Amino acid sequence: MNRVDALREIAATPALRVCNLGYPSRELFHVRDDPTTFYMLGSMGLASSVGLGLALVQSRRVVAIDGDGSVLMNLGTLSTIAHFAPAHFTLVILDNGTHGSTGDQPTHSSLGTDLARVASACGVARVRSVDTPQGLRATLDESGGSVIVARIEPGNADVPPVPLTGPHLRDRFQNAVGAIP
Amino acid sequence: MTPDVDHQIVALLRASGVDFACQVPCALLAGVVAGLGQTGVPVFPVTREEEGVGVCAGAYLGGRRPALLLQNSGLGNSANALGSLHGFYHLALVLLVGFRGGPEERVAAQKPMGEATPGLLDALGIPFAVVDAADGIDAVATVARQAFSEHRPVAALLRPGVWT
Repeated sequence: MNRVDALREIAATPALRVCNLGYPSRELFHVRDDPTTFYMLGSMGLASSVGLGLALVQSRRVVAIDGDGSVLMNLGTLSTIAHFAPAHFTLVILDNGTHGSTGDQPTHSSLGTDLARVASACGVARVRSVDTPQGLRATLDESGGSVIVARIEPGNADVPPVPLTGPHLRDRFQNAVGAIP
Repeated sequence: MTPDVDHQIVALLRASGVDFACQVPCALLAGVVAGLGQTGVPVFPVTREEEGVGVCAGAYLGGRRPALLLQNSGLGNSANALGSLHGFYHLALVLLVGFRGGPEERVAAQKPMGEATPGLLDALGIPFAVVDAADGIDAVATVARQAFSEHRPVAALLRPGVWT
C-alpha cells in the first residue's frame, strides 16, 4: 500500500478530514478535493490536534490524517486523544518510516518505535494496525473512536502543492462544517 | 491569589464570547482555569502549549471562540504554530498568558523568556496588552474582542501584580 492507496480509502469515508502537511495534503488534493477537507499547509505535528479540537465541538465524524514523523513531533497528542477524544474521532497515522516530504530521512518508527504500542500505552482504547487498503477500509468502517496505524511504502506521487490560500481554505471548511464564528 | 480578580477575568472572557479553552498549568492562572470551568466552558488540559494552539484551531474551525491559557515560556513552544497555522489561515485565538520573568521574578531561568516575550509577539505580528495590576484587567476583554473581530491571535500578558 502506498500513500495514495491509503488516501483513496480515507477520501471515500464520509467525514470531516484534517490532513497532514506536505505530500499527504498534495496527494489527497489530487485524489479527491472536497470542502470537508482541511489541508494543513504548515505547523507540522498538529493535524491530530486540529482534528481533535474539531471533534470536541461538533458531532460529525472527524478523521485526522497524520504521518509517523509528525506524530513523533507531537507525541503528547496520543495521550490527550486517549483521555479526551470523543467516539467520532479517528486518527490515521500513515507510517512509512520516513520523513517523506523532506527527502525520506528515516524517522524513529523505522528504528523500532511502535506507534500502535505507544498509542495503547497512552491509554487509547482501540488501536488498530493495517497494511492493506482493504484492511484500512474495513477498520475505518468500524464504529467508535480509534487510532489506526497504517503501514505504507515510502514515496510520493508527482503532484503539485495545494493551490489554495489559507483564508480561502478556512472559509470553505467552516462553510462545509456549518460553523461561522 | 485574589479570587475576585480571577472571577473578574473569567467574567471578561465569557462576556467576550470565549466558549472553549485549553490550558497548560501556570501558577498565576490556576484560579482562572478553575473558574472558567465552573462557568461551563470546556477547558481541556494539553501536554504542551503548541498542542493547545492546534486543538484551539480545530475548535475555531468548528465554530467556537477559543482561548489558550498558558505561561509566557509556552509562547516560545508555540511560535511556529502561531505563525503557520493561526497566521496563515487567519484564525482567532485569545492567548491569556501568565507573564513571568519580570523585575520581581525569583526564578532566574524565567528571565530570558520574560525579556523575549514582547519581541517574540512583535515578530509574529501578534498584538498584545501587558497588564501589571488588577485595575488593568479590562484589557482582557479588549484583547478577546480584537481576536474574534480580526480573526487572529491576540495576547493578554498578566503579570504577578494582577494578583497581589
